[in-house]
Amino acid sequence: MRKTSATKEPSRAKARTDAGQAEAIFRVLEKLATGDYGERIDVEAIDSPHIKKIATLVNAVAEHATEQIRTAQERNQNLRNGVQEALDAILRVVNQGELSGSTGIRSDNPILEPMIRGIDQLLETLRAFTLEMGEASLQISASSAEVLAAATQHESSMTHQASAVHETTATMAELKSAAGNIADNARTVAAVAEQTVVAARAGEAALRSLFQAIATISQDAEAIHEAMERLSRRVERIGSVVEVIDEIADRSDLLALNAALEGAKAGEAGRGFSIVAAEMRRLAENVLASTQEIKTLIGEIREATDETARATERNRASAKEGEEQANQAMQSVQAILTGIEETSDAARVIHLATQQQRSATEQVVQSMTDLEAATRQAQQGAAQAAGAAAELAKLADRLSSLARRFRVS
Amino acid sequence: MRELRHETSDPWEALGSPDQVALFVFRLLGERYAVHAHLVHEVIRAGALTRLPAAPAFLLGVFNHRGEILAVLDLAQLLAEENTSLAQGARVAIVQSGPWKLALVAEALEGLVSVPPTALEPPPTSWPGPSEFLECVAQTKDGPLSVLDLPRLIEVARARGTSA
Amino acid sequence: MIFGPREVRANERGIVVFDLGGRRHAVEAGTVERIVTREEDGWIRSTVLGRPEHARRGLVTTLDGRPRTLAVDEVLGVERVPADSIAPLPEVARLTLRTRGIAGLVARDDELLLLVDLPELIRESEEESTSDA
Repeated sequence: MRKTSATKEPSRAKARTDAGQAEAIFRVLEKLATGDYGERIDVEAIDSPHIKKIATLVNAVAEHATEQIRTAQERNQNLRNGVQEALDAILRVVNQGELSGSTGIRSDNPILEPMIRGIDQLLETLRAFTLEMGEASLQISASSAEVLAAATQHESSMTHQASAVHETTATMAELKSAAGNIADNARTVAAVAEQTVVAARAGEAALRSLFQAIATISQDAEAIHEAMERLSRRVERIGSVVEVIDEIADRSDLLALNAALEGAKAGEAGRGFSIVAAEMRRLAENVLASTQEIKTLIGEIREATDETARATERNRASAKEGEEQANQAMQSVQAILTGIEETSDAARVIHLATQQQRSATEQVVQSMTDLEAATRQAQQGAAQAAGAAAELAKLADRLSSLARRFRVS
Repeated sequence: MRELRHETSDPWEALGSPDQVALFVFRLLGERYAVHAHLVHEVIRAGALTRLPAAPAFLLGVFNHRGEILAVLDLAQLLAEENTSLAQGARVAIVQSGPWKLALVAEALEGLVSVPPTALEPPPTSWPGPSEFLECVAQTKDGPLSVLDLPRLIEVARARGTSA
Repeated sequence: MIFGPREVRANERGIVVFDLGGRRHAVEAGTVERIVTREEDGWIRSTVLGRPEHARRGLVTTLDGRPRTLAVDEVLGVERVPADSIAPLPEVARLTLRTRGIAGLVARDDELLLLVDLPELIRESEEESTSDA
C-alpha cells in the first residue's frame, strides 16, 4: 500500500508560557479544524500537566485524525487501485479477450469487494460462455460438415437414383414399346397363322394330288419293270438258242477244218475233198458270222434292256422315294397344320397376354415416372439441404473465429 | 533325206576309178563308219519287218525284198550292244559278203565317199571304239572314217548266234 | 522240212494258218493230226512262239508216238499255197536263232508267216520244261 505521506514533521512550538502554550494548542486546534493534521504540539514543552494532558490529547487527536486520514487515504487508494485493476481487467477482456483468469483482486472493502466479486463473476460468465460458444461452434461446424457431406452424398445418390430411375424409366418405356410391338406382332402372327393355315390346307390338297400322281407313276413303273423283266427273259432265251447255234457252227467249222486237213495231207487225191471241206467251212463261217451278228444284236438289246431296267428301277426307286417323301411331307404338313392351329391359338393368347402386359407395363412406367419425379424432388431437396448445410458451416466458422478471439485457458 | 556326199562330183565315176577307194558311209554310235562300197547292193526303205522269236539282239527280223527274204542286222548291237531304234520306213543298206546277203541298219546312212588309197591307214592300236571289226581308217576332209570289215562282222555275228 | 528258195514245185503245199500270241503262223498240214477245240488236259501253252491269248483251238501232233496239242488262239484255215511261197530262214537267222521250232517263212497276203516246225517246237518246249523243273 502506498503510503502517501502527506504529514510533515510536526513543528514543535516551544511553549514559553502557559498562555503561550495554550496558544500553540489553539494553533494546532485551528489547523486541525482546517484539516491540517500535520501539526503537533510539543508536549514536552508544556509544564502544566493539565495542558500537557490537553496537548497530548490534542496530539492524539491529530495523530488519530492523521491516522484516520491516512487509513482513509490508504483505503481510498486501495479502492482506487482495485477499481483501476478491475477496470484494467475489463479493459483486457475487452481489448485482448483475456478471459483466462479472474481479476485477481482481493479487497475487504465492502464497497470494492462486491464490485470485484461482481466483475469476477462477469469474467467467469464470459469465459464459460466463450468456451461454450467455442464448443458449440465446433459442434456446429462438425455437424454442418456432416450434414454437408451427407447432403452431398445424398445428392449424388439422389443423382444416381435419379439417373437409375431415369434409365429404368427409359427401359420401361422401351419395354412398353416392345410390348406394343409384341402385341402388334402377335396380331400379325395371328393373321399370318390364319393365312398359313389356308395355304397349308391348299398345300395339303396339292400334296394329295401329287401323291396320286406318284402312285400312278409307281404303278406304271411297276408295269414297265415287269415288261422289262419279260423282255429280258426272252432275250436270254434267244441268247441261249444262239449259243447252241454257235456251238453247232463251231463244230461244223472244226469238222470242215479237219476235213480240209485230210484233204491236204492226201495231196492231189484229196483235192476234191479239200474243196468240199472248204465249202463246208465257208458255210460254217457264214453261220458263225450270222450268229456273231445275232450275238452282237443280243448284246445291244441286252444293254438297252439293262439300261431301261436300270432306268425303270431308278424310276421305281425314285417313285418309291417320292412316295415316301410325299408321305413325310404330308405328315409334316399335317404337323404344321396342327402347329399352326396351336400357334394361332397361342398367338391369340399371346395377343391377349401382351395386351395385359402392355397395360401392366404402362402402369409400371407410370409408377416409374412418379418415382422419377419424386426422386428429382428429393434431389432438389438434397441440394437445398446441402446448400443450407454449407451456409451453416459458414456461420459456424464465423462463430468459431469469434470465439477464438477470447483466450480461455 | 540326206544328200549323198562324196569327194568327187560323180559317185559312179568314183566307183569306177581304180585310183580311188569307194566307201559307203553311215553314222553309228555317234561316229562315222563305212564299208567298202562294192559290198553294198542298194539302199532301200525298210518295209514290214517280221520279228523272229528267240532271236539274238542284233537280229531285228526278216523282210521280203522282191521275193528274197533277208535278215536285218543292227550294226550298233553288233559293235557295241546298243540298240538302234528302227522306225517304219527307215533306210537300210543291203549288203553282200560272199554268200551272205543281208540288210544293215544304222543311225543314218550318209552315202558314198571316194578316197585315195593313201588316205587309208591301219587302225590305231588304241582305238576308243570297237576294234574287232575295223579294217582300216580312212582320212577324209570331214574327219576319219572307221572302215568296217564286213565279212569279219558277219562271221562274228554267226559265232555269237551259235554260242548263245 | 525245208524247201529251198530256188526249187520249182508245180504242186502246192498244204498249210494250216493259225494265230498265236499276236503273230500269224503257218504249219505244214502234214504235221497236224487234227484240229481240236475245247481244251482238255495237257495243251502246251508255253513255247518260243509265246503264249496264247485265249487258246480257242489246239493243233494235235504226234511226237514219239504220243499225241501232243499246241494251244493256239485261232485257226484261220487249211490252205494250199504255191510251194515257192515257202522259203527257208536266211542263213544268218537260221544260224543265230535260239530255237529249232521255226522251219522257214511263208509269203502269204503280203505277209511273211513263220513256218513252224511243230514237232520240234513241242519237243523243245518239253526239254525246256524238264530242264526248268
